[in-house]
Amino acid sequence: MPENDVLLELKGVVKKFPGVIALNNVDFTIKQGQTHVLVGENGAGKSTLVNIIIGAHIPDEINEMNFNGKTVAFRTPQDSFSAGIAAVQQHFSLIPDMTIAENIFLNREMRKGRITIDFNKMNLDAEKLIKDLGVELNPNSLVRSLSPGEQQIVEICKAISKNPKLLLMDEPTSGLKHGEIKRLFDIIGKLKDMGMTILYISHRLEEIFEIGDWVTCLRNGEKIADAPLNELDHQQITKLIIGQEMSNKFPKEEVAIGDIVLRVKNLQNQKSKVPIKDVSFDLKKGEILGVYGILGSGKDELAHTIFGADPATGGTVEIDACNCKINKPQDAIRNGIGYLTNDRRNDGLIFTMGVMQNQTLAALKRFCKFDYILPHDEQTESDLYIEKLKINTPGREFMVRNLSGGNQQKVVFSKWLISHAKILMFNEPTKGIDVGAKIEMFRIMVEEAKQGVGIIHFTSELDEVMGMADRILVMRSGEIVAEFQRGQVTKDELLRVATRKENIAV
Amino acid sequence: MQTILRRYSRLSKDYPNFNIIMSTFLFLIGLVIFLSFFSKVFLTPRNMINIFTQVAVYVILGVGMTLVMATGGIDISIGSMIGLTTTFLGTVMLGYGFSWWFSILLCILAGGVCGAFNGMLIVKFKVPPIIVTLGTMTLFRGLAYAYQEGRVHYGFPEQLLWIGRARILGLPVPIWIAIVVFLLGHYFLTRTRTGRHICAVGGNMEAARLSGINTGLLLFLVYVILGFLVGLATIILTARLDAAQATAGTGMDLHTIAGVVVGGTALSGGRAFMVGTLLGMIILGVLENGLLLAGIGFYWQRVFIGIIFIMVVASRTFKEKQTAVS
Repeated sequence: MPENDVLLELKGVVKKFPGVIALNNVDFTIKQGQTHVLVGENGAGKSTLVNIIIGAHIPDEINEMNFNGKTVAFRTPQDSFSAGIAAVQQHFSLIPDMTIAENIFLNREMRKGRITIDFNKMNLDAEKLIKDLGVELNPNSLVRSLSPGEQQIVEICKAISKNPKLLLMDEPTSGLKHGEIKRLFDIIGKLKDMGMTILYISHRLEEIFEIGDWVTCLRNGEKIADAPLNELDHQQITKLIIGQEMSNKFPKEEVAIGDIVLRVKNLQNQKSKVPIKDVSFDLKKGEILGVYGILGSGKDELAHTIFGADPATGGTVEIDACNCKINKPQDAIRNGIGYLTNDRRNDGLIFTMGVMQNQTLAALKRFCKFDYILPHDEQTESDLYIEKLKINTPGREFMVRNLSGGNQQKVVFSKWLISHAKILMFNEPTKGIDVGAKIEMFRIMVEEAKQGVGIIHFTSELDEVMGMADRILVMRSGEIVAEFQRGQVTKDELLRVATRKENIAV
Repeated sequence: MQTILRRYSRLSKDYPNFNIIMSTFLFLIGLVIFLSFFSKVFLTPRNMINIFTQVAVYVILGVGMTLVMATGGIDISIGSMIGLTTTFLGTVMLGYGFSWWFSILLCILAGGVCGAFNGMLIVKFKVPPIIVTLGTMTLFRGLAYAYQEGRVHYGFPEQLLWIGRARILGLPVPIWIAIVVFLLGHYFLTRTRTGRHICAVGGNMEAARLSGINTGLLLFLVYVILGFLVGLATIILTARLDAAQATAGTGMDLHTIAGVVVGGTALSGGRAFMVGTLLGMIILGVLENGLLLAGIGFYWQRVFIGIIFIMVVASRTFKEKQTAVS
């Protein structure tokens, strides 16, 4: 198919889910040979549109859908794969205990005759695919032994080996270290040279401009922009995504900082995935303390250890000058700590329950007389916080699993606000959240700081920690290696300190 | 009529819990109407009381099982627990001659001890519930056989038999006991903090733990509660039969689980409905009774019950998968 001919076209797509219209009469076109970027908030309809393209969802209404010159109607993912669409999803579908080659050719293994698998040929073909992408990997290694970045390369090989006409990549850089991101972009460059058409979904503006040719923007289930990337700049795209001018990127305000509310002394955890060695720091009331570290720095483990989710093997935690033993989350909560983890699906929300039940989960005792839950008290509090945090939900009984990512995060947030925490720990609070909701998160953070709550903001996003923190601690390999005051360090310096011992050139 | 239907379908889509209970209830009504055509005796008060007396024991067991399944667990040893506790009751009441109320108390406690044994293995040793209760199923039954050495206890005192045979306000005592247990169980699950926490543990154990819930204690507790209720059920069973045999309770574990599942409680945990369990037990009871009265032999009864069970659960799971947001 010649360049710039239409490869994929959808017209008039409508898709509804309980309580929300995910796609409202959307038209979408991808031209052959371009790297087409799809942007939009969580809940804008990006994932839904992508799922319809790969056949994982069936649209409620659609006027027509053409792929590669033919009219199509995908009922299952199998249909789209047969037609020539391959996808590299955010969550990999690899079998950890099988080799790279076995995974690439899963269900399409070469045979010697009818039954026996030809492992030799499989390994050779896998090696060729890997080499073509400019990477060094042994096709015989088990996927379990690979880093997320390497696993992603296996996924890419798997997709490429099907000779697709369209390659889909969904938020491919979430979960990758800096060096791996660069390697990914090199690979994408090679794919572009091969003439591959790519549909790239991302919310990271820097990346979009680096590799994209064309951008489509969705908001609230409607398409609101469709243009070549060289005609737009960062500001314009952000405005398109959130629908308004983002004058102040981070709603940071000066807040009066009070006494020390939390004192961590020589905290150790030998049993965590990244061992924590001798961490000490203070947190003051009203302060936003940023803890910056990349993947593997131990920041997640530190947060878990302070909260008692992964109990410390040494050191002390003092809250309001009293030494408290924190061996389990209950202890931490009793002492006024709240913890928003980096994985709200696994750690933060109960998907079988509604909004209200999730909100009051950590502080139910307050709404009870003996063990009986007072319905009116609980409902009033729930409504109050739905209002306060502007949680977009049809009602307080609505199932949280049907909410968008940003709203889900707000529900978790309200859980800790309702528990009246004096110390709030956030780990990657804006992961998987649209730009608009991000700003909201930070606004609420500042509100809490104004009330005298001490905040620890664990993150691996440079922009965020530079924009929000009063003080920044840098973590590397389980220790704190540097401390900076707000405004006294540059992005480059932070990155350098955080990665010094890491091998960034891959 | 239009608005009722429209309101119903909107409620069902947005609040799946309502849909589950409602559809189970409608199924029961439909079943009763259908079966009534096959026998004139089916809808008589005497037959209905018959059905509900049988169902009463299962409701008591079901309440306990619903709590266990709400945490995502399961207990297939309750049938054997019944055999063991009834043997124990016989020994204690007839063998040692303890007073009737003390013996009843001991029986319930014995059930609790068995439950605690299960709970301890599941929580402390982190063995999956299905494996633990598979083992204790054999263990308890073996103990019952060993203990009883083939004898059968019979000739229980009047006070015990009263529980099985007397009526209060026209309804047999077991039905009243079941009503009380059901109401307490429903209240506990839906209105108390502990009940809410139990559902949270089943819904997402890690999230519950990180919200400060004592997951270990709750997991242990539900098996103990089930154990106590098994003890209570045993008392009623023994009272009705006026006999204590080591083989008692065979097959009752699976029947209980079937009733809970038909009622809408999910095996995976987090979603549990006492009302559903009540309906489920009634459905099974009505089925057995109705088919029997229709002249269907015992073996074909099992075939029908099995098919209907699969149909109910499959259609419910299928509908859920359709409306689930990915």
